[in-house]
Amino acid sequence: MLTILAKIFKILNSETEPLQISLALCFAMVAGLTPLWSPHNILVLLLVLLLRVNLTTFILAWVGFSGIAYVLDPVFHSFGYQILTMESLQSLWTLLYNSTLWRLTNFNNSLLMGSLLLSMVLFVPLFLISNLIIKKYRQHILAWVMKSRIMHALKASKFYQHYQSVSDWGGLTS
Amino acid sequence: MKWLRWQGLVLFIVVMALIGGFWFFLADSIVKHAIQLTGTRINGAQVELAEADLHLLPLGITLSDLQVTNPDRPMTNAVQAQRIEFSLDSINLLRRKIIIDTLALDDIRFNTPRTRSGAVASSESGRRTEETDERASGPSGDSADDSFQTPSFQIPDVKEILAREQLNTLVQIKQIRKDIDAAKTGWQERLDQAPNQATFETYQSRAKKLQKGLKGFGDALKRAKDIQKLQKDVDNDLKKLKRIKKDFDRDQKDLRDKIKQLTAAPKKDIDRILNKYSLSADGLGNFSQLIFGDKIGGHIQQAIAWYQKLKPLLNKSGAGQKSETPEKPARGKGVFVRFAETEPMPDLLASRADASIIIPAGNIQGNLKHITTQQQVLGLPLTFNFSGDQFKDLESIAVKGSLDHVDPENTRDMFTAEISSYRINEMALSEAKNLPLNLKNGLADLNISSVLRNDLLDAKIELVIKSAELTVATGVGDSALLEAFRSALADISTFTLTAEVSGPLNGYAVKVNSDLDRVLKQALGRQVEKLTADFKGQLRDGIMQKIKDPMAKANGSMSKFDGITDEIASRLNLGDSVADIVAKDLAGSTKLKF
Repeated sequence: MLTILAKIFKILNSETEPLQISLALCFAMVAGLTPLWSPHNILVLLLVLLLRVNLTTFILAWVGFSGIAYVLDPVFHSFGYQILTMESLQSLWTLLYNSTLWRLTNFNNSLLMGSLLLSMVLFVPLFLISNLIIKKYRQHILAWVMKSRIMHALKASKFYQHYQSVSDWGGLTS
Repeated sequence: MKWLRWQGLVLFIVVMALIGGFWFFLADSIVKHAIQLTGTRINGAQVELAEADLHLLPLGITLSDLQVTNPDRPMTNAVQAQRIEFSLDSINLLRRKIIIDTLALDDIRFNTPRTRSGAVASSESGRRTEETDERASGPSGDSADDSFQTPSFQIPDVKEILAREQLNTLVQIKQIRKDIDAAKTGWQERLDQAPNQATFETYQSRAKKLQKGLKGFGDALKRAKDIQKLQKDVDNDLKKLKRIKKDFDRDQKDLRDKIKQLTAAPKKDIDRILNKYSLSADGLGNFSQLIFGDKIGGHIQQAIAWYQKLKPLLNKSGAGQKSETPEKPARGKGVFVRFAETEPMPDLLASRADASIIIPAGNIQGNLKHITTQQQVLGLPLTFNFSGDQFKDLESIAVKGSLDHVDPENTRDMFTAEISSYRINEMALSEAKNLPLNLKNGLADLNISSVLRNDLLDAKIELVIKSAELTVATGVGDSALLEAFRSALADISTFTLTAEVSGPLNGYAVKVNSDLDRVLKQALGRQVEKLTADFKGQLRDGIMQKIKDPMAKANGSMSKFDGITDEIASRLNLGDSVADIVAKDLAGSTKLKF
């Protein structure tokens, strides 16, 4: 537990670009909210590994979003089903359904459609908001946090030692 | 800032290769377990596979030693296939459609023994097994018991019957004796009031007085008057006595008639009791129904149980069908919404399956066409056709049929089978304890034709057995019946059995007819006649023994009237003599002596 917290703080306090952390968060949202064994997640994995996004953020956030997905499962299903059965979109879905490539994506699964669509919609806002929050955090809160008594206490604690020990893990994110 | 890290691409390739390799090496195991799990869920008993081999070029699967447990008999496989091989259409597989051009099913066997039980412990399968058992209990509610009701051919115990039954003969004897006693008492009373000896002695003394000499003309007139009065009195009493005698004779005759009628009463008792405890072969008019009805019903029930399992698989909702509002799906699964396909294809289709089936007589070759779970989409019914000839104990066999569920509202399934000259050795026709009937040898010709329209069954089964040698083993119970069967069946070398099955699947009726019925009924009828004659003789002896004494007493009771007869005769004689005296001796007593 301490190690996980340490990683979060390490990521948040690293020199990693806020954009890279935000992007990792957004990719994690897509991978976490949608069913794991979906073809589009191969693309997400490729992008996560190919682009210089923060992997640790991605992994941690993916775990978090998977938990959220479990809770929101009925919402995703309901939303996806409504989209898939929307009269005005029938011709589009029928066209895609008759394409082998698109059929392979499982787009006609209500859960996948609902979760993927919502995560795509939230992708950009999340990217911008998280980017802004990280910047603000580093600008206004980081110094205060570092000087706080709690942080001093933490630095003396085992937790900080863990934090120090993982501080080199972000090599790929540099 | 550089946005790309090429080492990440390498890592991606490595990860993908690992996943691919992992899947490939585990694919056989995954396929095997998927088939076992799905098969077991559908079958309600274990479906096992020795090996599954997935090959990529061309994409296909080979399954080895597939065993499908019979849910009703967990130590027996309903079906066992040595090898199943098919190639998959790769492009359609990407569209989640399993399309097989040709499926090879090699060495299929039925009812093979298992080394361990194939029962599954799930509550659902247990329930289904119970349902199957319940359905198997018979089409018309008759249980497939190991015995059935036959008329008893045991002669009833005459002593028991006579102790239980009231004999009308005895009742009549008792009544007659009562009547005789009453009559005797009545006649005694009537005689007491009738003119008797004293009466006539009085008349005699009156006559003597009237014989004395006359004392004049006036006395003569008075005497003449007295004589007339005496004559009148004597005549009146004589008339009374004669009337009494006449009435008495009539009563005696009536009583004698009643006693005479008693001789016919025992016969009536014998006939009545014989009728009540009669032996009859009428119950064996439907002998073949009794023997074969449940057996045929059991086979039909098994077939129906398998049909009921297959039926839901013939028309699942599928491609080209608009999805209805789905039920709440399992978490993390969602539902697949279907859309119209430009070229509709079922999710699962095996266009043709070539199969070889091993039966005890040899191998049967055949094929199944259009195996799919979505006949509505394919638009073609499943058909099957198997045949074989030149077997060891079988001349030929041909089985064909179709399962047409293209229109789920108007389904039509057909099945026909023709088996020629099947040599039967030691086949139990009836395992009923009270009639274990075996066909020791025989040549069977079997024709089955059946049509099932929307769960309404109409089937005809015709079995002709030639060169038959029927035997009846030692059974439990009525040895006379078994002996009668033995004797009757010994002469039968050919017989025909026809079964007509009709009605809904959950309540069909089996009507069995056979020329065995007539033969057996005749033979058993003779047996009934013989036993009835024996029974009648015993019954007659018993009844006669029982009524012997009462009957003798009834006959002897008439002697009670002897005294009355004598008394009446005596009084009449006396009366006649008095009348003579009055008429002759007093005739001149009124003449005056001048």
